[in-house]
Amino acid sequence: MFGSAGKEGKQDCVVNVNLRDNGGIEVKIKSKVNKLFGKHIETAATKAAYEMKVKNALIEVYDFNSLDFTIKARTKTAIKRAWRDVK
Amino acid sequence: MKKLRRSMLFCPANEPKMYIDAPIYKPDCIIFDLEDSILYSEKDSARDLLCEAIKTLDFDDIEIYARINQLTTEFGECDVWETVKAGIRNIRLPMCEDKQDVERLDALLSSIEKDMGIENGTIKIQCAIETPKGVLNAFEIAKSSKRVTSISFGAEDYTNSLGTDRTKNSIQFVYARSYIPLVASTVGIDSIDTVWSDVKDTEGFIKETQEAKFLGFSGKSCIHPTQVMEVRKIYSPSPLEIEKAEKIVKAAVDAEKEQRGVVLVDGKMIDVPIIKKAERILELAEIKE
Repeated sequence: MFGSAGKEGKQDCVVNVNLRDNGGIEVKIKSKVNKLFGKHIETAATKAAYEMKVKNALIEVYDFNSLDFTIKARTKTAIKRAWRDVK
Repeated sequence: MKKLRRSMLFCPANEPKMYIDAPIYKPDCIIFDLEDSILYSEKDSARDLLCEAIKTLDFDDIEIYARINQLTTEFGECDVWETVKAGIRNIRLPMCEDKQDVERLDALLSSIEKDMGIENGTIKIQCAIETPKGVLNAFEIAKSSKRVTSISFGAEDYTNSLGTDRTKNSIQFVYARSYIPLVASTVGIDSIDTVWSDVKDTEGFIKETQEAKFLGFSGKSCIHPTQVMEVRKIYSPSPLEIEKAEKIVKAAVDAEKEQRGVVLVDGKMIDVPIIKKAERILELAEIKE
């Protein structure tokens, strides 16, 4: 029930997803710009999860100055990999 | 105005910074690669990143391509479905060897267009010709679908197939690099020359790009922003050429308005091929008529 995607590189991020049965979407962020953009990163990750119809997951985002589209993409890939893990 | 395809910049689709940096150099086209530059284990993440980037970013008038994995691989069809659904409108088909390869992609695109409710034929194809068999079938490939807007030559796989090595004088590509622009011109599509892999050898790149232009290629594949700038310089007409072309086109327009059959510029009679060449120069100079 675990999936990870992305890498530690400029403008990228590493996203770990733990799929759960309940508890809603919880996002934990590690970023140098957390104070400024933490809410923004959380919104992007949450939006990606909802677009994938995932309602319960712990999402950890290790950010290296990534933009929204990267956060969303890495979250979606991590979710798909978590699904594969379940299978 | 005809879309120019002078410079085609290749970028690995799994590098977020490429989506931001590449457009800065204003190539005519960017090809986001899902194939050779992406590790097997990262095919899924590259595809997802390309899809999210396409949904979010505005590339202005730069033509964006997805270089998909071959349709015979486990990734190919998914690459097409996902990227087209995200907004990609140009697919580069790798290792295109015969018309059946194109027809297969054409059929897949038709079903996706139907599913999405978009007009049939909206998604265009660039066929990458990368083997001797592909070169020999280039004409059939080029006219196999109305979706094909260009054919490109890929030298690396070509040399592998031929069992030879790539040399800087490109002697082993004489036939392919002469034949491909000929085919494209006959069918009325663009032809794009191969990449120059030695990024540090700018002199070699310039020489090969000049050759490509003389051979009739519409453009050159690039793997580095500096190459984009060199291609633009080589493919851009000089101020003198532009001035002369403007004069010729204006004279032709005036003659048509005045219903004169003969076009004169500086006392010399100008015929149709010269007018067409002048129009092409203005296209390359990005001057709208």
